[in-house]
Amino acid sequence: MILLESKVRKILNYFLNILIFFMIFLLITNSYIQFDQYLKTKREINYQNTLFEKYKVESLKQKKDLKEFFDFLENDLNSYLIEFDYTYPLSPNATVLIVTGENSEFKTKYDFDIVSNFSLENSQIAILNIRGD
Amino acid sequence: MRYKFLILLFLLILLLFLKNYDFNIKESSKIINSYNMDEDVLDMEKILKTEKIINKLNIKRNDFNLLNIKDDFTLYVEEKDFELDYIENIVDIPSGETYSFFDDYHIQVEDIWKNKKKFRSMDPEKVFFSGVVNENGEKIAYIYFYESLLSIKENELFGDRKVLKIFKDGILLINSKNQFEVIM
Repeated sequence: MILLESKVRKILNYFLNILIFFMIFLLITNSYIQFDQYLKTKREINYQNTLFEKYKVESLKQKKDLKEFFDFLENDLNSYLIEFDYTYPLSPNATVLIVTGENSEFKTKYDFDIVSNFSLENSQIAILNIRGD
Repeated sequence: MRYKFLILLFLLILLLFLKNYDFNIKESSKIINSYNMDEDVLDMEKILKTEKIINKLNIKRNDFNLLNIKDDFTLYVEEKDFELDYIENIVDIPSGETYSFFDDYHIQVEDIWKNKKKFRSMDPEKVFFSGVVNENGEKIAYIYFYESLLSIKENELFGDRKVLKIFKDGILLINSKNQFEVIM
């Protein structure tokens, strides 16, 4: 009887040992999977943050370029806007009418074509097609 | 023997806990300042201050007429959205920046007529001005056009040219390229 009991205990003991090892194995693999998942999420968030920052920087640059173009039309030319066309990420295009004195010159970093021009008594009027660079 | 059961129980709890644990990485929400674009109002302040990227911006003066430039515009704005869970922060800012190139502008036709000799005239050998008649307050001009006599009124179309104004010594026309032409 005692022998039998001891045999059962022995088997049970083995079984328990195996179970414990198995559990430890499961624990290790699971922790690895979870940790990997954590790193993945973290990477994804970092990537999205970078994208967001990039988006903001691009947006700021775009606004700066647009403002520069508008300021050029406002301050450097005595102009009247006829049409303005802009598609991201290309440069802006504008058709403007300008009123200048006779034989006046202006410097610009933008490309432009003179569509038509004519002179009045003391001034000259021209329609320009300005392309941003 | 007993403590082996305890270890087993402890491991089981640990495993269950680990399986169900959800890593919640705390992230501060993103804010993009954006403004309600009203397409009827030309508000450059909003366009230049929004933190969203503008995909398309089109501003066009309505009924463009070289002599009478009106401050009436059609505006089209299209924004590029950012695909991420962010809080879109719509704030309304008062209109501020306005540009003077949106103003209206008028050219006196008489000033243009003073420079009539500088403008191109339509075939001066075959097309010339004959005279002007005032009929019920409306000017009707007569021109010889390749051996036939034609009558035209102001604002009428003459081929692809528009009659801008009839003077007592000629007619001022504007062509489709916005260039002036005269018949004298």
